[in-house]
Amino acid sequence: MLKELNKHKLAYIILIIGLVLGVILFLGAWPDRQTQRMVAISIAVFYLLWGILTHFKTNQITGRVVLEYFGIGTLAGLLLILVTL
Amino acid sequence: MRKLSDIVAHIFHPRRSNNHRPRLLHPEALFFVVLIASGFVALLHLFSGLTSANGSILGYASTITPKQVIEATNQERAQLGLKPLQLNQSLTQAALAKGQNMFTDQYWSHTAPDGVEPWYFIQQAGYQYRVAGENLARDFANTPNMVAAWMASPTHRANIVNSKYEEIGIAVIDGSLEGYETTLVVQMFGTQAGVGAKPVLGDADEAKVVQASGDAVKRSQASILASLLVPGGQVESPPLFTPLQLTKAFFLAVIILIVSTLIYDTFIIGNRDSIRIVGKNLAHIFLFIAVMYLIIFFRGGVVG
Repeated sequence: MLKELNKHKLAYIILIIGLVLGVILFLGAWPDRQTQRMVAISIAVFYLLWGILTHFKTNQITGRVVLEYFGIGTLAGLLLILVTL
Repeated sequence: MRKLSDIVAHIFHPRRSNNHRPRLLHPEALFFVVLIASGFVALLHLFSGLTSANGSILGYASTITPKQVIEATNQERAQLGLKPLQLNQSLTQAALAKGQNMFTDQYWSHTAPDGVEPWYFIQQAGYQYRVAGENLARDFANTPNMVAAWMASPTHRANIVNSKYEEIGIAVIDGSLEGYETTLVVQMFGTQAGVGAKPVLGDADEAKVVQASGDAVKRSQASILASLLVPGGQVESPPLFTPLQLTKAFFLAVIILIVSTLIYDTFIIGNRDSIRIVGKNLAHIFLFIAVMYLIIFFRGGVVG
């Protein structure tokens, strides 16, 4: 894991900053649930784009990789949206 | 038995049968998990009316009392140097009538399905107002969280710290709303009109909070369990779980399962000399840790 982190330091720094920002925005939006849902969707979209760009840069992009990031992003976003219902 | 262990290995262990990636981490399986999570929430809503011998299974129990709400409201006003609001029985009656009306007609909004606005209840209670306002809350477990939610919402905060208001009425009512046992809190603000003065509806409209949630209105068997002010903690059999607790528990279990599989997969593949083009496990783990944190610290309660 550390090897992977060191290999793509910048990509992971961007990911962590994005996720921390998402966490702050989501919790900060309370009690406005509509805004929280928008933040959840933004986190999912950010993650999908991050995945595509990271794999594109390393020439390791395939349809299934994109689909995997889409699946993971959708699941993460949906869990956050459902908890606000 | 061998077949079962084979299925488990296929789902969680990277091997030839799953293209060297646990089946659970394949996009198709992830979408299946999405369906399961959605189905769980749908079922939770469907069976929200389930009861046991001891009372409701699902619902929200609270310790909110009218006295606490008034004290907390006045504390917020005091911090801004505003005069404390005085409890007015007519406004309390109006708040109670509004709360009962929401349970009877099964809606969650400032305006009733038949178009009746909060000012109707205030006038019916015999309170001639110059200015008036209303804050609503539901599903909160305690007063500090509820008042914090109101203060975090600009429109509700504007009501609480409005210098035009002199009096307050509070109703804390337990009942069944949209399938769940819950506690509704209605906070009515007002200032009485002087003798001979006519109510100014415009001011009232300004003061009204319009951030009602757009939940579907259900006109069905309304059941008012308590029509009087029932201090929290005195309800005989509070629900066993809140829907939020069950949802959180289920979602956290799903996340822990996926994160464990990701960690296991990273460990197994790290010890093999194989190349595969898949998503980054570490990134997935980071994302799910963030989601787990948000689910754990998500605070319930709805203001309107």
